[in-house]
Amino acid sequence: MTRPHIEPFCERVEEYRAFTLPGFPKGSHYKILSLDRDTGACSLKMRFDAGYARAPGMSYSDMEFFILQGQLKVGDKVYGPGHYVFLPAGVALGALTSEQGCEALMFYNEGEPTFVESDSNHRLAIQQATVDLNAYDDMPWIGTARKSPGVATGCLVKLLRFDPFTKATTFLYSMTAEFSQDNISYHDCAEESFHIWGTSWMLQFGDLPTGGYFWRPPYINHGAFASRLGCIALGRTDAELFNYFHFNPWTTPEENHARAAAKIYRERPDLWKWVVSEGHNHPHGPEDFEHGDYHDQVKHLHRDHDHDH
Amino acid sequence: MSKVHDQAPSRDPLTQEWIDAHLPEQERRQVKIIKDMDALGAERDQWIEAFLERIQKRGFNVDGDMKRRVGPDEVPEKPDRPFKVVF
Repeated sequence: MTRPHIEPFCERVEEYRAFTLPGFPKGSHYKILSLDRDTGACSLKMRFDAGYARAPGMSYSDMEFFILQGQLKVGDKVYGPGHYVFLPAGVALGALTSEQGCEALMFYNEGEPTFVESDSNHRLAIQQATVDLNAYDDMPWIGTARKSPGVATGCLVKLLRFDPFTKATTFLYSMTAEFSQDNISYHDCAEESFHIWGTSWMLQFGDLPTGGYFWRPPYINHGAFASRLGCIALGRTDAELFNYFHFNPWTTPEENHARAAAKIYRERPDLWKWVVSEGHNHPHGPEDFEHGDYHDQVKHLHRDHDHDH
Repeated sequence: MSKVHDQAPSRDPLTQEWIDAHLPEQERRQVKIIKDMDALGAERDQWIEAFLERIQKRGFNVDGDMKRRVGPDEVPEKPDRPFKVVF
């Protein structure tokens, strides 16, 4: 993904604009949180006017939405605050209506926002990957770290979506009042967050208030962490979130990247040797017997260039 | 990329215009953030100093609530290069 490092940003300083992209009906408004310069993938905060209506339809991009306030009716179901949907590309969503209006976060993961009227799924849509739940009502907070090394007590998580292929996740997290965690962290993945309510603090960026947002590319230091009065936020990653903790505030992304690579070198020497052997990851495998289709999407490396085949 | 996304028709010119209009705005947003973060430099130096004191006194979080005290000889020194937090 090619989005710049946007951190910190507070969307409350921005005005809504009319959302008039081809295929979408009138009556919705948007603020751009971040935008991928190559693919058009984007994260938006959207407002739907009272009386908004959209026919059933699908997008050519995987998309996610999270209701912040108000109500949105999808088919005959009414979604209120905290409702989260992951809609795989090509899966048709029922007719949308909003009697009183609502605000939501919307994420188009693979490409620009697209909408095609349809009451049936695209023939290649992976409908079983759909997630549809209320994050506030339908699941408990996880109060302890799910994996090691993990966050300190007081950072609670609800895992809303997990991609079994890429390990990308979408999650709700909350820091309790007086939360603190004294380390510097970075990850192999891009990380994104929108503060639904409350303020958190990081050593590099200071306070992130309600409406605060970041899109942070991989290997960028963040933390130590604190929250005086607590906060609740929606987070996303585009791959597995592994916590590389340390205590040097001044390392660069390049140094962090090298440290992460050294970890693989130490822990998986044979895999490392295979991946980097003369910059050439042939033979063209290994075939994944369980996920044959996914193999088509693996990029093959050829010393000074790479390509799909 | 999903198989469905591979089937998407070419991008509508109006959508391309929309993207082209927003990219410079996003660049300007990042420039402003960098400026704001640079302006926070002196305050951030104090935060870092307090952090380095805390990890010697109470420890840094190695994993969850497990902490390890950092010895005086382990405390990192600020390198002689420009310090950035936004990349």
